[in-house]
Amino acid sequence: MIIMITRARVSGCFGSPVVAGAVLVLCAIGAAALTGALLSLLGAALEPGMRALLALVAASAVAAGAVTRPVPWQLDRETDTDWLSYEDWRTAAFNGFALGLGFTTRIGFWLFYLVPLTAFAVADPILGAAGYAAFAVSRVGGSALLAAADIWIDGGIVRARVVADLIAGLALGALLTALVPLL
Amino acid sequence: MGGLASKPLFRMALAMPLAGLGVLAGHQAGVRPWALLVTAALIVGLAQQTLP
Repeated sequence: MIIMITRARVSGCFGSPVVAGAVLVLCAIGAAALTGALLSLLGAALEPGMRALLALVAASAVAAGAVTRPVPWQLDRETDTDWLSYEDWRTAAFNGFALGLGFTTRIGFWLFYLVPLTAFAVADPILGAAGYAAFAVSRVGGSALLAAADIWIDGGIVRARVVADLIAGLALGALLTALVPLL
Repeated sequence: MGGLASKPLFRMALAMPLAGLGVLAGHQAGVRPWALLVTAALIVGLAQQTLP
């Protein structure tokens, strides 16, 4: 994140790391809001019963995966390193866009799937966009703040994965309860 | 903890009761999908700070 923001600084346009960070976060929010709205529109295009059924099947598959696999189904990669070589606004914008979508890079935690799943289930584009945008703010905004504070969590991934995946089991159970009455 | 937590049997033993608790809690609290969306979004966003 520090590298992304540093490389995104260019004289005359984005000389400030604050502006570069803002571009990163805003692009992430834009990409997330668009994705959430599209998923909600997809859900709204279906009959409520069919939508709930599809969401239940997906939630059940994710729940089964969360129980049996420590690492979620994911694209095992980071953002394109070529984007760092631009060293201008595109570095921040492209990385922000990819990180805001969430699924184009390593997701790390099963809980992530609750974000697109619930955006689909609520079938309300405004709500779907707002929810996915909350993810982007938390994900990319948090990273930008951590980069600013230059904090490094030693071994945090292992500890966080255990806790987050257990929360995923709890949350997916609650989601199943919320979806069953819709059938 | 990390090694033990990656074992499928251990994970299942921990996650199944939790998923059951989630069903119960969702039923008792009348959880709406949007509330889960926002909660999950914030939690996963924060958790992903630890990704290498």
